[in-house]
Amino acid sequence: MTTLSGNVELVGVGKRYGSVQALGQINLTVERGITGLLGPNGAGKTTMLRMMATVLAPDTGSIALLGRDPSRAEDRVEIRRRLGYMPQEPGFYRNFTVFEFVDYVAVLKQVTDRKQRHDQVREVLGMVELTSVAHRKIRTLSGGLRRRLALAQALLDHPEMLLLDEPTAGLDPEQRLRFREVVSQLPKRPIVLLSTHQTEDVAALCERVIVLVEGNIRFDGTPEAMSGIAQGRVWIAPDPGDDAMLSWRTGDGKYRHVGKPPPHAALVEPTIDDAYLLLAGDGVGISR
Amino acid sequence: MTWHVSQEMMASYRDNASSDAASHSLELHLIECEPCRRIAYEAVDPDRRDRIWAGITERVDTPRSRWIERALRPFGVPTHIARLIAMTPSVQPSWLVAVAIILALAALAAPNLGPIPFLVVAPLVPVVGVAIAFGHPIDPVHEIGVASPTGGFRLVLIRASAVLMASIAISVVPALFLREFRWMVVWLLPALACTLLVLVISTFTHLSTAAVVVSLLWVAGVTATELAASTPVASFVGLAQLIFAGAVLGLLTLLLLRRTSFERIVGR
Amino acid sequence: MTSISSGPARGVAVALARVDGRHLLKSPLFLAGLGVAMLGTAVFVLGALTDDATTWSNDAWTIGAGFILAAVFAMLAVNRTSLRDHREHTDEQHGSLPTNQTQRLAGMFGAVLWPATVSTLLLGVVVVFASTQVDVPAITIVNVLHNAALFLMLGAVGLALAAWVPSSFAAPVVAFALYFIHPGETPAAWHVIWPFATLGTVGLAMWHILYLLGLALLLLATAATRWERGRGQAIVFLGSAATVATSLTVLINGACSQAGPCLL
Repeated sequence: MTTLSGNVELVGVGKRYGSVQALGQINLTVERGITGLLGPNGAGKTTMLRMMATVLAPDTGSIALLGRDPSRAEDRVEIRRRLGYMPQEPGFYRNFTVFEFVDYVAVLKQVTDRKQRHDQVREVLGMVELTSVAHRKIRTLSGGLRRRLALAQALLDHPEMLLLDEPTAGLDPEQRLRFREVVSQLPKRPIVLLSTHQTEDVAALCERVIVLVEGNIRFDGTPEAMSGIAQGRVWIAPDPGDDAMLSWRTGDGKYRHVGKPPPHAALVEPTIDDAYLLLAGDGVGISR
Repeated sequence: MTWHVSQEMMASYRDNASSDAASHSLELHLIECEPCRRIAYEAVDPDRRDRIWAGITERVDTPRSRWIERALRPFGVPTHIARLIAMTPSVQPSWLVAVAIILALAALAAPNLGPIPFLVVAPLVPVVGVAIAFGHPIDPVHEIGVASPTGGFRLVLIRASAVLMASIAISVVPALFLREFRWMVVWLLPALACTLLVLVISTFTHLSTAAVVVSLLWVAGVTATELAASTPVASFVGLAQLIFAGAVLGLLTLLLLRRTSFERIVGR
Repeated sequence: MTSISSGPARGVAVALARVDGRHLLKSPLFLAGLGVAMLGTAVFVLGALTDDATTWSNDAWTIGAGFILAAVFAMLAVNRTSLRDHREHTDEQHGSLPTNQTQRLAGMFGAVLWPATVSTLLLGVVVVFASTQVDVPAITIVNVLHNAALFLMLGAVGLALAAWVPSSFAAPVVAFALYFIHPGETPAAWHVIWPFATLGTVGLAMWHILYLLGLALLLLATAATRWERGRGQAIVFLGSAATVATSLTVLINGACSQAGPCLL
């Protein structure tokens, strides 16, 4: 199968659900590499991913995926052959075994040769460490294993564009580290869009971060640049402060404040979390 | 706006002393005039304000009651039980429609095929309904339900009764098309017996397995009796009804003895 | 490992047919249907072995009834398999995959070939065995083929129901309706419309097979219009409608020329 050239380009893309503007006039270009999508619930992250997965059409604007136009049927099929999508709430055929289900998805991905297909299935199951449960029925699997299964089916056939919606929700810390390993070592450096609430995953994995709040892009840049937003606005103090935007007691008994400092406060190095709080709560849009 | 609400007007409205026309003008005006709304707000004492507001919130937040709940209330069923019944998966339209069609067909075929098809299918309706009503592939709230205080045996009884009532209600209308009166009633005891049997068996194995077993036993039993007996429809008349009555009593006792097993989830 | 996919669209339908076909063979509903067919066979065989007065024309109806029920069970199995995405809420997830619904429909219909073949082979074995015990008329060979056509037609019913009435209760209702709705005992020409009808002559029986196959394709085309309306569907629709009309005409005429009232 020939590789499609091209990025993901959204121009003026908007989507409305009734009276709610889920996405408003988004202009975005996503290139090869891992891009993180952060934002509160209802920000439009899932809507954006669904549009890129070609299951949802925008109300306004145009999308180009891997250089093709998903509003045209033939292009859609070509895009879908090179696409891997892991939805936020994945569904499974619960009476199938793990192997059978991934094999079925592989057939739907048009891998018609049986031997090659089974090799593919074994490969992706190995990548997510599900080989030991390959012949167990899906309804006997725990939530974490099912999420790995959803990731496995998205990784089939080495997609050029990988869309992951909350991929690490419900995974324990070890599984999350393993996930980072898998995603960062994908062959052929595909376009990876990772929508998540876990800022540590973003900080560890992503070359680029996009913060989406209420359907609009509030930040678009590197994780370091994002932390830089909170520079000079994060403090440690012995007492709780009422003026800060957010303030909480840390494990060592001190209080961390984001925003206005209380008395006797010392400045500290900000993290992505602090910047995210400022972006998502503050209402100030900042880009690179 | 030149006309505004005066303090006296507001006071008499609050105390229910103003005329209809004056009240009406005042209400219309308040919709449009913010300063006057503030006057109205100050005029009412805080406790009464809170009560009014709480009443509105309660009214708005209360979940809409389904028609089943409203239908059950005149029979003295408490609202929380009515809600449990209404939420039973098999008291849902698509299931009821399917059952109604099948029974109607069976009843309409009675002049040609005799009453047996109807009499065989009608007792199985609550059996399948019970299987659909519980059991965790179908009921997404199953595990939460079992862990709750009402969960377990009491919930099972409530839901099973709901299913039985619904099934009987649905079966009554097509039954009227069977020509003889006795055909319209001889299936009731078998329905009760089959439902109790599926509940008892479900304490040993998965509910869907229990439903399949009971259905097969029932069909095989009726078939064998009909083939062996000399009189037609022998599996439903005379001695058979006594046997069903005895079965109902026995199964009820067995169910009460096994009731603790409903406090756990059977299988995975 | 390099990516290998992009078999042509036809290849996908064949691959799906293989995978789903095997699932159908293992499905409890189909196996239950085979059980019923074996029950009907056992009744006849017991009778043939114990009672010398057993004849094919009088007593073999239990075999026929058993295998017809097996076909109905297969319809339920096909319907249940087709409703999988609806039940497990995987519609949208699989919507991001390159295989479209029409290809999947074609794959499912191909999958029906598996239970159809297995049951027809089984019926063939039963007939061969029965012929060692009683006299079996030659037309029975055509009846065996008729069984295969019936499986395909009922499979198409299951697929059409899944496409247009995506409720788990629709197919069981239709299955019951098939049992309860009888053309009745008095012979009449229009009874040939009934898929379970058995016809006396080889010629008419072959036309009935063609009628069933035409119906199957008609139902498939109807199912496919749920997702797209293209020239391909229109051609299949018209072709199958023509087949059904032609075969019905021949059948009704043929039945009319034999004894009995015509058309009503």
